[in-house]
Amino acid sequence: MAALIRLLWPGGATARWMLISASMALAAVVLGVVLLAVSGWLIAASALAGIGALAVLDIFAPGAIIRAAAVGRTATRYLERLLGHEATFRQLTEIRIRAFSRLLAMPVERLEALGRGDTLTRLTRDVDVLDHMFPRLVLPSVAASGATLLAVVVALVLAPPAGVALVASLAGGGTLVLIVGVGMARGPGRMLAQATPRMRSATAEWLQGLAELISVGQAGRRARDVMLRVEEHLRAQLAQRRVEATMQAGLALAGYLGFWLVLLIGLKLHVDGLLSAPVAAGLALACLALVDAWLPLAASWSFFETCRQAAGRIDALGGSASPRPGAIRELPDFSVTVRDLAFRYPGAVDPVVSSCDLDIAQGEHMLVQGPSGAGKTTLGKLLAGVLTPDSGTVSLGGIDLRRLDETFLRGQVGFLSQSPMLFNDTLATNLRLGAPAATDDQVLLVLEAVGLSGFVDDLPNRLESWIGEHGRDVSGGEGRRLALARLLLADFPVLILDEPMAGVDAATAAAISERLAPLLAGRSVVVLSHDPLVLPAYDRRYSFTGGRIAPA
Amino acid sequence: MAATIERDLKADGDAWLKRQAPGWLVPGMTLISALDAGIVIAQAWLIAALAAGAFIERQPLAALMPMMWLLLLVLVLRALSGGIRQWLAGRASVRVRYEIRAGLLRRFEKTGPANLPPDGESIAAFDEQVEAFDGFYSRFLPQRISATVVPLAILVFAFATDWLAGLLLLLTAPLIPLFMILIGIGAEKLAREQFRSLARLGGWFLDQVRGAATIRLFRAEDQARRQVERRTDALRRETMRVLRLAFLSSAVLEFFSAVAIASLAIYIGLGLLGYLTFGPAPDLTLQSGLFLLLLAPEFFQPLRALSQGWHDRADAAAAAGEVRQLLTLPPARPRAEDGIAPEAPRQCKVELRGVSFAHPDKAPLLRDLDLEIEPGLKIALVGPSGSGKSSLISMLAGFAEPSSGDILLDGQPLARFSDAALRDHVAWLGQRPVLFAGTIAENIALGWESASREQIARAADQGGVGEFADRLPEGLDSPVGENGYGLSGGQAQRVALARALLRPRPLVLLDEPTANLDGASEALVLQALENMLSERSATVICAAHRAATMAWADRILAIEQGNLKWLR
Repeated sequence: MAALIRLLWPGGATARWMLISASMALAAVVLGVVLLAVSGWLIAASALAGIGALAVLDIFAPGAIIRAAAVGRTATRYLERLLGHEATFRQLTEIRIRAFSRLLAMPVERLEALGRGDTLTRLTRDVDVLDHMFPRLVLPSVAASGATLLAVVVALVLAPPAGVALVASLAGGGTLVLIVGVGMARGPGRMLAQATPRMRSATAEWLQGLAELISVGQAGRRARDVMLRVEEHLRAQLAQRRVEATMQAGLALAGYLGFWLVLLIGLKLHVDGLLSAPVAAGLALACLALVDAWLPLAASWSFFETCRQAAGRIDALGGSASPRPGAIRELPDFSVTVRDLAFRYPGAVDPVVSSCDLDIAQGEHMLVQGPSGAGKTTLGKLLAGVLTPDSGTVSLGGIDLRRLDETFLRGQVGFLSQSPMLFNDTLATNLRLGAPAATDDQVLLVLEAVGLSGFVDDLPNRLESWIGEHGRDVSGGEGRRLALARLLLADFPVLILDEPMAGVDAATAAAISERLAPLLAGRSVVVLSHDPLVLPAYDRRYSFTGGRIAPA
Repeated sequence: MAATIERDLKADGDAWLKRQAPGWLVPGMTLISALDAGIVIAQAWLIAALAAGAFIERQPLAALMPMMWLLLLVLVLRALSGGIRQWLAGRASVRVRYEIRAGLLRRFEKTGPANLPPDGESIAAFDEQVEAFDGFYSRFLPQRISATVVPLAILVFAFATDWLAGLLLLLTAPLIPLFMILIGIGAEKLAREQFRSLARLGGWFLDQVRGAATIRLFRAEDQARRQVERRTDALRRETMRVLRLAFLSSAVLEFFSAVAIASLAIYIGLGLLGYLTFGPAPDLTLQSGLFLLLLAPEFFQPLRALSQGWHDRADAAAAAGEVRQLLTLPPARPRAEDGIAPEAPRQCKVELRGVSFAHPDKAPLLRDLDLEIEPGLKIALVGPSGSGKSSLISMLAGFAEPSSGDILLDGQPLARFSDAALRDHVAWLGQRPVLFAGTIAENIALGWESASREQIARAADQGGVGEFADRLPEGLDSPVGENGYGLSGGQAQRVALARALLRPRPLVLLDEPTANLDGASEALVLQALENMLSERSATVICAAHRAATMAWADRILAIEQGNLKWLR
């Protein structure tokens, strides 16, 4: 609950839009109630006047109210939907920023770990769920409860016992049903939150192993295991539906009971001569119209558990920015020192890196060469401080990376990974990621260095063209070179480059290497590669095999 | 079977979805809707009669009580029927999704690994897209049935009571089907617009979220946050422009229902006052007037519910398109249904007769191959990547069929082998081993539960599994896969090798078993392979990128531009 409030609490402008749309929703329900109540009043009054039981009847005022309520309900309903969407959209921006800020406060190591699973995909899905909370849950609830409150006040004035009955049944009973229902929905909701990813991973495992399963004649049997997971997932949903249907029936019972009581009280008061027939009829019909506003709340509130869980998951990511106490934010120089470094992936049988030592002086260019799969990428991540070693140290300017402020560290060490991430955005936005102030000339210069001048010239809007999903496709080799350009533009004093020339043909690679020299000059550079032939000039060369490093 | 699939593909998504529903759903929902209509009409009648009794006939409360109790019963029934309807619809939705998922798995198995779309797509269909069917069964279909039955029943009673009032209802909802189409077009466009813009934003945001590590690496957090804000704001402005118009279509429905109720109330009021002297108006009483007024909102309620449920239909129909495509994938071995089951020999002869192979809509990869491999021969199959090595192995393993020609095992056509017989003849190992949650021993014995502990241990030793399993605390009984020890690619491949070769089978197919391994791991797997193959009499065909690593091979076969050539 606290998580929900933290994520959803609206900012000033959003709150205003919410307030306006909620008042429109309330007006729409109230006008619907008025429409039916005044109609009932009019018909009862007309019938009495028709048989002479009522002396004078002004039909024009109620007629005008009825017409106004009819048109007003249409207008307010339209405004409710329109303004409600405006509010929803504004809140959607807020929720996204809040969830995103949490991610951006995390160490890179944690983000990389999250990226491997489907946590990030689920995060965006959870955010999508929260987007719907205002229009699906808040808006109808505010409208129904507001209208009920008004009706209770009116009833208390006109026929106090009817008001009391309304409070006890529709308002009290209905609210109780919703509270109990939300409580009952917790169990199935938790079950579903566990069962769904289990179903998904069982399916993924079955599909990945399908060839082997078929070849040992086990595909059918294992499919039955997957179907057990499906059953588990659907069973949880079914339990959820049972709660929802119970809520629906309970809410209707409370509502209709309220209507029945108000009708009974109205008739009794009328028979006793305490209430006029038209008012009794109007009150009863108002109640009936109110029930219609309450019924959708069963679906709204069974959605609550989904929202609560989504918010809980986003909240569980933590990530409130708490800088390491005493973290260091300055360096004497940009040398890199590695001492007795060791690393093993959790659960792995063998370590990837064991007792490595390495010294890179400021401005020195170093090549670490090793066969593919030897663990160079892991070593690179350790050097860049993207992975934390099990033992031993990586230091920058003699200071252990773990003692540096993470954000400060990110400004010093640039890391080119083997599968760099490019955003589905414009080329310029992608390249300026680390250097927002870079001029077009500077951008074009680094693009030329990585041999992509032609690539830019072919794009319809040059630097402003979109790449990726909504624009030009980027091949693996182009992507890596774009990432290299992005890195060079950002002016890091230390660079760790993991296979910078993979996917680039030898002639191009040689040309790029030559042009890179001036851009790399003065920076401390470690290049990790299995193929040393066409790399930028290096001062020293090491080989890395079996988790150990040695001069080559 | 083929004919129904053909028909299925032509039918639109709606009809297909409806056909997947359990048989009882439509009749059951129609029955409940009819019951609902009866309840709604009884409720209106009772309330009107009570009002007339109390206000006009001035009956004492005691005389009205029987009718009051009856009304309470009707109201309770109404509350229950709403709950039951929802519960039944939920059950139907769950049932359908279970059946469709079971059908998908059966189809995936029949289609085989060689012809399936990428795993991600198949999983998305199995999970999200089947899930998108839910709204169709649990909301849209019941709503549509109710929107047909209830208004019709009300119309009949309205006409019987006062034809002018009935006409008013009929005219404000100009022929229900027409009205529904109107709603449909508006609501569908709206749903599509909203869905598309939200999906676009969702996709873009997911991209940013996935790139969070990169954003951190470049210290571009503030910039990225500003951009999320800017993009969502821009999208909001753009979408609101569309919605301003799109929401008008639902306002039309709202307007009609409000105006109908208002006009009806005023018509009845004037009629009761005696101001109207035409048609049935002079005959109106408080009872008939109130009855009509109470029916009016109930007449429009199902239509309004339907207009809100329209996007459920749109989502389900879109998902149905994708899922149906997967459900109609052709089987890998269409003729295996009443297959032959020849006895498996110790080693078998492999013959290709005029075998060609092409991926759908592509130029042929393998052309008119003729080949005879003597029993017990061990062959390395080489060729550049994409030359068709995997396709040839896939055909021999029964994962794919030749586009023309025949493959014979010991003179019997492979295409006619029953699935079980094929499994008894052919062992297969691919590039990406998969370990299932369980112990190493269980993974090796997968598919041959009757294997003795000695057999498993021996296969593990020969396959080089022992080398690392001995270093684990529980040896071969150490858990691997999900929640178990993480094995390296080479280690996992050795487990898979021991699995493939545990049970003696006359033909062993290996599809580049070391393609994804680094040098050191490759050497270990090749060593294990040599150990295992030298002990076996089976016929072996192993696709490899370098023949040099296949020292055990008796002969080397190359694929060059779609043709086979013996190199040695």
